[in-house]
Amino acid sequence: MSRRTPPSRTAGRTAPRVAERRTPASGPQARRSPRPGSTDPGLGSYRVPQRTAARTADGRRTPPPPPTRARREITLREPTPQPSREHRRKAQPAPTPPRRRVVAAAPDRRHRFSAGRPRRRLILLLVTLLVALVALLVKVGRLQTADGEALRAAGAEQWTREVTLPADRGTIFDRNGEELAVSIPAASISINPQLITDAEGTLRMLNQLLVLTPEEDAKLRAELAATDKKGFVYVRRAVDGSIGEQLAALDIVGVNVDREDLRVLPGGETGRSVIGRTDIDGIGTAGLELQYGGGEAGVALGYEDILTGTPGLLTREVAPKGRSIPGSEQVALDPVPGQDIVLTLDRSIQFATEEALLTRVNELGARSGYVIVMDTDSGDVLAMSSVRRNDEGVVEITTGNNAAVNAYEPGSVAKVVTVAAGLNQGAVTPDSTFVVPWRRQYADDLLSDSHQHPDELMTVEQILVESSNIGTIDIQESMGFGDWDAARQSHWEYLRSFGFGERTALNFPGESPGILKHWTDLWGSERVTVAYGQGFAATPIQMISAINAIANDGVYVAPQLVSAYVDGDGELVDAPAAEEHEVVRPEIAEQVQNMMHQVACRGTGKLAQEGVANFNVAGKTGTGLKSQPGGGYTDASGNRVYYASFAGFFPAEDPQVTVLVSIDEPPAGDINRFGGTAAAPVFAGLVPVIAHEMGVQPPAVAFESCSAG
Amino acid sequence: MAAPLRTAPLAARRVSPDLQLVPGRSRVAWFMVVLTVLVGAVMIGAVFLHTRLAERQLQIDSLERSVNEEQEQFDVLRAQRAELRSPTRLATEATTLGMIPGSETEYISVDPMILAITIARTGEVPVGEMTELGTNARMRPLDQFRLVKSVSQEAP
Repeated sequence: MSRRTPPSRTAGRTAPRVAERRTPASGPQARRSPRPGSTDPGLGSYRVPQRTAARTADGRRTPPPPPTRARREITLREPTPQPSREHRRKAQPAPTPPRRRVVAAAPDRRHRFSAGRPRRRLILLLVTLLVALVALLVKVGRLQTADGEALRAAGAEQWTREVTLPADRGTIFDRNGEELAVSIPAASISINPQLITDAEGTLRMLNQLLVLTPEEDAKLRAELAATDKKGFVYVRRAVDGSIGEQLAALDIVGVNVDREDLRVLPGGETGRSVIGRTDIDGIGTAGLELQYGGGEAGVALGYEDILTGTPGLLTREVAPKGRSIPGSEQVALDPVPGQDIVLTLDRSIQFATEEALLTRVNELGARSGYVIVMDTDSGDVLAMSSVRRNDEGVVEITTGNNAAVNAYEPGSVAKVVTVAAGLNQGAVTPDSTFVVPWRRQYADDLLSDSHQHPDELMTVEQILVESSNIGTIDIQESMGFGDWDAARQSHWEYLRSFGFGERTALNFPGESPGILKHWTDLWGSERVTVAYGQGFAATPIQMISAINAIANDGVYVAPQLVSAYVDGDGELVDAPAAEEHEVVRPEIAEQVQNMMHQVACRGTGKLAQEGVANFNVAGKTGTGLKSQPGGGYTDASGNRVYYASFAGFFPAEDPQVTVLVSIDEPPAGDINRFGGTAAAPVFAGLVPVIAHEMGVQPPAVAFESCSAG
Repeated sequence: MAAPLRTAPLAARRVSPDLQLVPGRSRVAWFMVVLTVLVGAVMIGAVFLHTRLAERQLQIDSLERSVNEEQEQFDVLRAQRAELRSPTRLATEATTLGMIPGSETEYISVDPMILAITIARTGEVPVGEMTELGTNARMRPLDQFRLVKSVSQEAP
C-alpha cells in the first residue's frame, strides 16, 4: 500500500492560494500558459510567478516550478461582475489605464520614503547601515593594524609605569666557600612631592626612621616647597632593609620604598684590594667586581659580565597624578640572577698577609707594601695584599689592587732569572767561577755591588747567594759565548719567557704590563743592569710568577684568581686551568732552588729562615732603587729611594707555596732598607700561618738544616 | 477535464487542525532539558575551574613571595654568618679575650704502620650526603648556598 498524504493539508493550505492565483485568469484564456514576463494590466505591473500547478493526465497535480524571483505575496482582486476586459477595451479604447509598474512609473519623490513605502526605507536603512559598518570596519582595521602599535604604546604609556627589577648580584666566595662579597636586600627611599599634602608630617616621619642629615632635610624641604614640584626625589639609597619595611608599612602617601641590593664585605676590609667595589647601583667599578660584573662599562673594557645578571621588569598601572593602583603590579620579565664566582683566595691567608703587612709597613715607616701568596703547582693566588700609607699617615688596605697595577724595578730578585737563564743556556754551571770586582765601569756608569770587596773568585752560586751585581752581569754576558748582542738578546728572551713585559693572565683591571724594552732599545748601562733587576719594571704579580716558575720545576704557570663559577642551577663550573709553559729544564730549576735555599741559609735572606722551625725555605732578596718622577733614584732630600723585596717558597725540598713580600720606600738610612731586612722577616712570619691554613707538612726527606751547613 | 477552481470557504481556511500528540515532541523536550542541564553543568564547571585556577594562582603568588622573602632572609643570614666567621672579627674577639697568635707549630711524626692500622679499623671519615637531613648546617657555606640556589631555581 502506498502511503497517502493526508489530503486535508494540501487542500487546506495550498489549494486556496492556488485558486486565488488562478481566479483572475479563469476562463479559456487563462488556461494558456502566459508568456514569461508578460504583463497583465489587470494584475498590475507585477509579474506573476509561473506557479500554476499543472495536472497530469490522471488528475494529479504536479508541483509548481521553483520560483524564479523572490516570492511576493500579491493580493489579487476578486472577479467582479463587470464586462470582460475585451469588451471594455473595445468599448472604451481610451484612456489608457495608468501604468503601475514601479520601473516605469514616474518616481514620486515626495513620497519615495513615505510610510507606505517600507521597502525603500528598508533598503535605504540597509545601505546606510552597510556604509556605516564598512566605515567602522575600516576604522577598526586601521586601529588594529596600521595605527595599532603606536596607539597601544601611547595608551600604555599613559597608564602604566615600568620599574626595573634588579637582578641578584652574584656572590664572591673564597677558595673554601666563605663569602667575601655578598649582596643583601636594602631599600631605596624616594618621595613624590606632587602627592604629599602634609609635608611637615612626612618629613617628621622620614626623620624619625632615617635620621636625616641637615643637608638631606634642607633638600627635601626645598623640594616640597617648590612651586614646580618634581615627581620623584630620592631621599636616601641603600637603606637597611628592615627600615625600608617599617617605612613601607606606614604606607605614607607620596613616599616610595623600592627594593635594591647592598653590596657588603662580611670580612670587613679583608681582600678589598682584590675584590674591588661597586657603585650605588651595584655595578662593579674596580677590582674583580669590575672585571666580572662591570656592566656595560666592563664589557666595553673587554671583561665578561658574570656577576650582574639580567634585570627584570615590573609594570604597574597608575592613576592620574601618578598614584599606583594597588594590585596592578605585574612582573613582565623575571630577573635572572648573576652567577657566583669562587676565587682562589684563602680568606684566612689574605687576612694574615694584610695584618703582617700593615704591621711591617707601620714599623718601618714605609710608604706601602705588597704580599702575594701563590700555590706553586696551580698558580692559584692564595692572597694578594696591598697596603698604603694615606695622606694622614695611616697605613690602610688599599681599594685598588696595587700589586697588579704598580710596576717597580725589582732589583736583585731578578738575578734568579739571569742565573737560571745562564744555567739553562749552558753558559755556566753552579760551580762556574768568575773573578768579580766590587765595581766596574759600564758605558757612562760605574756599577758596583752593594758592598765593597776585593776582586773575588766567585762561583755562580756565590754570586746569587751574596747577590753580586757585577757577577750577575758576568753571567748574563756569558750567555752569548763571546757575542754580547747574542747574550743580551738571549737574556731578554728569557725575561719575556718568565712573563715580564706583558700583562699576566689575570687581566686585572688597570693591570700594568711593566716596562721591558726590547734588547735593541736598551742603551748604555741599561744593557747590563737588566741582569740584576734595574732598567726594567715589573709588577709584584709578574715577579712572583717568575719566581714561581723556578719553584715549579721550571714551568711557568700563569697566575689565577678565579677557580670556579656557580651557575644558575647551583652547579660548580671549573674555570679553565692556568696556562703554563716550560721556561727552564727541571734540573736547572732544581739547581736554582738549591741556590735560593742557600740564600736563606747563609746569604742575604737569612732572616727568611729564622723562626721557621719546621720548614726549609728558599728565596732571594731584592733591594731595588726606585726611579723618581724627576729622574734618578734620589728624592728631594737627596736620599736614595728603595724598593725592598723577598721572593721565596717553601718547603725548599718540595716547593708548594711561593710568597713575595715587597716593601715600598723603606727608610733610606736604615738597616731595614734592604729586602733581607725589611721583607724577609715578613716572609718568615707568614710561613707557619700559610702552612697551617694550607695543610703543608714538612717533607719526609729534608735538606740539611742551615745551621748544619 | 479539470474542475473549476473554487475558493475555499473562509471558515475552512481558519479552522486549525485538531490537536493531537505529535510523536517525538517529548524526545525533543527531553533533549532540550538534557542539553540545558549539560550546558549549565559545563558553565558551572567552568566557573568552578576558573575559581580554582585563580585560587591556585593566588597560592602560587603567595608562595613565590614567601620564597623571595626566605631567599632574602637567607642572604641576610649568610652575610651575618660570614661576618661572624670572618678572621677580622675572630682576631678582634680573640685579642679582646687576651689571646695571641701562635708562634710555634709542632708536627708529630706518625708511624705509617699505626696510621694504616687506624684507617683499617675505623675506615674513612664518613661524609654525609649534602641533602641529608640535619647535615645542611654542617655544610660549607658554598655548598649550602649552591643547594639553596638549585632548589630556588626549581621553584615556580
